[in-house]
Amino acid sequence: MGMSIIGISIPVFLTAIMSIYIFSVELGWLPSFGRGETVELYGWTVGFLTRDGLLHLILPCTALSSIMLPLFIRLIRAEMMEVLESEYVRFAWAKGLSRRRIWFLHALKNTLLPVITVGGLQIGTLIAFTILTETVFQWPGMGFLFLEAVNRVDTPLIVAYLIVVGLIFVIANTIVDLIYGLVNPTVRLARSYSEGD
Amino acid sequence: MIAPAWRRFERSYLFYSFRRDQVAIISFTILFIFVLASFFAPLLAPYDPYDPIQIDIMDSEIPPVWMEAGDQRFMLGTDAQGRDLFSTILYGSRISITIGIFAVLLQAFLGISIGLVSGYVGGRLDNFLMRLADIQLSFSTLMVAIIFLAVFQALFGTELYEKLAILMLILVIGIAEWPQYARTVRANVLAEKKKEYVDAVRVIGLGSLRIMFKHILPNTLSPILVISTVQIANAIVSEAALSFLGLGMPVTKPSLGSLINSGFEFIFSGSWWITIIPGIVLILLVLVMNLLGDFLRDVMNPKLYKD
Repeated sequence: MGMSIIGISIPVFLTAIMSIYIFSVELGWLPSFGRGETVELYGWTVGFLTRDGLLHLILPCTALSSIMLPLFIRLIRAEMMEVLESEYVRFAWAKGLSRRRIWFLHALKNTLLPVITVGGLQIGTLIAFTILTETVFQWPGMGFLFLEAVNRVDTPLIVAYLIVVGLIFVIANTIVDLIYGLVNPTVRLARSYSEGD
Repeated sequence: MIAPAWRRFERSYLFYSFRRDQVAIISFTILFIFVLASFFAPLLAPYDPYDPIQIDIMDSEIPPVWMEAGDQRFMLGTDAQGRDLFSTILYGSRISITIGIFAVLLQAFLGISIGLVSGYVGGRLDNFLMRLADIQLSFSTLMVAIIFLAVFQALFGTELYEKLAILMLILVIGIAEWPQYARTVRANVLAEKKKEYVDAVRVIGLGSLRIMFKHILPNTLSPILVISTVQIANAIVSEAALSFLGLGMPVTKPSLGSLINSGFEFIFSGSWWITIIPGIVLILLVLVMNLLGDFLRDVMNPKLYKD
């Protein structure tokens, strides 16, 4: 819990700057900006297949995950506390199952439901609103594109960006809803009851 | 006048649990020192970062005293323009805290009035106002602020912008986050409205405005207090993020964010202190506020009274 509140309190651009200072400037292990070397693969320019491209991924990825991590820690903690109080977990204890089996098999499964919902929303945010991280790392992504468009007052690009972002959010939410129905049988049951069968 | 109120506060549950919680005491002390130091910045700071006469470009990029090339005159070193970093941080956190507090005051004012009216009146007005809040919430604060500030800068020029920067930031951050308050207040008003004391007051024949602000509002204060601390921290972070993108405070009047931004260009040449020291100050400030917010939430949440 202590770690997660520290994680929430550090703005993402500071995490990014500090990791750049430590790993690129002081230690010189990782590259600090850009997408790195890319290769042409059947007309698709891709950076995942070169060592340089993969090295360029490490710092931005860690910086981005540092925003999401405390969020999920807190969510799972709250949810786990609730689930461990519930009847079926008490039944599992009474049945004499091992602690590990109850925690990781029985309880964890049900804590993951809200994680799917929040995670789905966060995927949209990760694609569209990572303006700060992409600025620090000069990553040629959507957030960086948006900031460039705003700085040049490129209105058509801003409008197009907003529409695409809306689309991404709608698609992400739809997929989350579908997965939720597959994972959580109570939702399916509720639906078939309300249809009157 | 003050003494009885203080004595009542001393006996309250809030003060009791505050005295028993070390984390809360430490965070409150740090926050108090921060606020005092930034409030009295002109007295404490050895130099005035806004006064060009006291700045010498020859003093630029001097590291802090504990490093070899450090200079006794500058405790935390200097930035790229030769400003004393310690004084600049004091003045900078003053701007950051001011923007944070006033932006939250604006949010609270808008959010509380809208939430009260919406919850109390109900019906079609309630629907309309809450859909408005949903629309506002679906835009990310940062994006609204970026578009708004960039358009303002482009329309009216940088010179006017530099003069109005604080005001603009307060307005943008304040307006973008009012639904947080409106929703909390509305939910509480809906719960309070059904209680007997409200019926009693209505039977006496008081007007709706008086009922809303004098009788219902005081009962919704504790959640407002809880979100306020966290919202101030959020507002400070938003301001720092905007300044970092070059859309907040100008370099001539740096806040913590613009200080971090101006130092970021020099991090590759080894002058880490221009970025890292204001960064640590910012993290500490936000961390302390979040810890206090957590403490308040635990204390004021009646669900947790049981243990």
